Amino acid sequence: MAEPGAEAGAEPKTEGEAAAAAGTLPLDLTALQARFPDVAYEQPGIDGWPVLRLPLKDWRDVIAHLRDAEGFNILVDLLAVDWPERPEGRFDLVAILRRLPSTAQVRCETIVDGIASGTNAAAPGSVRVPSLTPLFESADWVEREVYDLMGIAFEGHPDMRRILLPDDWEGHPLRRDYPVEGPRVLDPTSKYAH
Amino acid sequence: MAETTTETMVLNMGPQHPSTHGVLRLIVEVDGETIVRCQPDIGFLHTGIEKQFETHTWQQAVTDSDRMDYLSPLTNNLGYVLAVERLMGIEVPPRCQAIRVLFCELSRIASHLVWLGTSALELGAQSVFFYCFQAREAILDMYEATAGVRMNLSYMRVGGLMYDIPPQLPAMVARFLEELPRWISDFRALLDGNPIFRERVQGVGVLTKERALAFGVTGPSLRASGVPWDVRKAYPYSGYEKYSFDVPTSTAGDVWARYEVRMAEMEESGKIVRQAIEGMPEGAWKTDDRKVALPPREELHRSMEALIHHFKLVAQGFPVPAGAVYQAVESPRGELGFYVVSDGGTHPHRVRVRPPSFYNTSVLTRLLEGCLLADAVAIIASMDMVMGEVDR
Repeated sequence: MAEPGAEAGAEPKTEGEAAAAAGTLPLDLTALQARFPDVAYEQPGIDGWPVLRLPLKDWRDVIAHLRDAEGFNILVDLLAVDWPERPEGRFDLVAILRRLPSTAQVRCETIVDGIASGTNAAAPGSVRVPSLTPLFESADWVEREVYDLMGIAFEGHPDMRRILLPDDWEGHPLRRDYPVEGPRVLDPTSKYAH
Repeated sequence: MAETTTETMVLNMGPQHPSTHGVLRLIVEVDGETIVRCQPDIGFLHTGIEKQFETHTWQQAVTDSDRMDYLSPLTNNLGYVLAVERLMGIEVPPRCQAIRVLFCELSRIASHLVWLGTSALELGAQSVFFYCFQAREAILDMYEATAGVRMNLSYMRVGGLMYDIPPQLPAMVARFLEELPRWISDFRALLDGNPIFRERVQGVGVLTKERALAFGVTGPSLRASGVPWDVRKAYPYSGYEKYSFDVPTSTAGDVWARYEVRMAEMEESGKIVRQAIEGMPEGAWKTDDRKVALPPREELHRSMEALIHHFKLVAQGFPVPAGAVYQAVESPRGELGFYVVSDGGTHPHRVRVRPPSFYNTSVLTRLLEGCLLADAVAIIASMDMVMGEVDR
C-alpha cells in the first residue's frame, strides 16, 4: 500500500496506476472482502483507477467502511449511467471516493434495477437506493441531481426533491429514452406542439 | 420599550440580484441582520448540457463543454478532450500539450480577474472592476487572435487543436507577462491597504477544512482552508509535471484567505505561461492519426485516402472504443471532472461533468448560517461560482 504523499511526483502518475503496476490497491481488500464477500475488485482500466463492484444492498455499508476504516474523506462525485437494454440491470450508479491529501482514489460501482419506468421514480414499488447523505454532506445535492435527471430515488435522504428542474416537471431527462427535444413538443395534443 | 421579539423573517435573494453571480437564488431566514438558515435554489440556467453531449459526435461535443463554465472555456475543453483521448489511447504532440497548458493558465488568470473585479465591486470598490477587465481584455485579445472568438472558444480538439498559434501570439504573451505584475500590484494597492475592504473580508465566512471536505469543496476555496490539493500536482495532465510552480495555500479559511490564494495563483499562472511560451516545442500541434484528426487541406487535392478520411470524419465522426474514464483537471474553480462513457459508437453514451461550482455552492447552506446578511455578499463572491456550470 502506497503511503500518502510519497507518490507525489513519483514515476507512475497516479496511485491508481501504481496500484495497477504493483497489483495492489490503495486499501485493504482482504479486510473489505471479509466483511463484504460480494464485493468484487476490478483491475484498473484505461484511466488507472481501481474499481469496486458492489451489490446494491452493500452500497452504503461499503462506502461507510471505506470512509471510517480506510480514511477516504471526500466524495468526489456521484453519478448514474443509463443502459436501457442491458439485461443485468438498467442503471450504473458510480461513486468516486478519494483520500485527501494523498492521491488515493477508488471508484465504487453498483447496478440499480427495478425502477418504475414511469415518470415518477418515487412511485411505490420502485427500488430505492440507500442515501450517502448521512456519510458525506456533499451527497445531499448530488443525489437530488441524480434523482432529478435520472430518476433514482434515495432512501434516507433528508430532502428528496428535484434540484435543477421545476418541481412539476415530468420525466427524468438524462434517461436514454427521454427525447432530447423534450416531451411536450412531441405530444401532438400539447399546446406547445407545432 | 416592549421586550424584543424573536420572530424571524424569510427573505428572497436573487435570482436577479446583482450580487448573486448570475442566477443564484437564496432563500434566507434572518433574525434581525443575522442569517439563521439559508437554502440556495439552483437550476435557473439548466440547459441540459449533459444531454446535449449525447446528441453530438465526439468531436462536435467539444462545443458543449465550454458552454458550462463560460469564464474559463478552455479548461472545460481540455477536461473533455483529455477524457476522450484517454478512452482512445491517443498521445498528442508536445507542442499541442504546451499550447493547451498556455491557454488553460491564461484562462485561469482571466477567470480570477473576473472574480476579483466582481467581488471588489460588490464590496463597493468600483475602480478595481475596470482595471481587472482592462487586464482581462489583453487575454481575450489573445483568444481572438488564436481562435477567432473571445468566449466559448472550443479551440481544443480530440487529438489536438483547431489551429496552431498565430505568429504574433508570443509577442502578445510577452507584453502581457510584462504588465501582469504591475496590474497585480495595482489591485493589491487598491484593496490590501483599504480598511473597508479588509474589515469586510477578514474573519468573515470561515470555512473549516472538515466542512470543506464534507461538502466536496475543491480548488482555491479548499486550499484557503489548509488542504494543499491541486489536480495539476496530484494527477498531472497535459505535461504539467514539467512546469515549476507553487500551490498557494492558507489556513485561515476566511474570505481574505481565499482572496490571498487566488491573488497568488494569478502570479503562479503567470510563471507557467512564461515557461510554456518560452519553452514552446516546435513540431506538430495535432496528432497525425488520420482516423481522428482531419488531414491537411493540401493533401485533399492529391490523395484519395485523405479525401476519404476527411469525408468520413466530417460526415460520421470517429468511433471511440467502449469503456468509461474519469478525467479530472484543475479549473479556476476547483476539480472539474469528466466521466465519459462510450458504447463503442460515434457519439458519447454519457458524459457526466463534475462541476466544481456545484459543490462549492452547496456549502453555502451551512457557510452562511450565523453570518450577517451584508457579509453574505462577500462570502458568495469568495466562493467564485459560475451558475452556467452549477446548472449545466
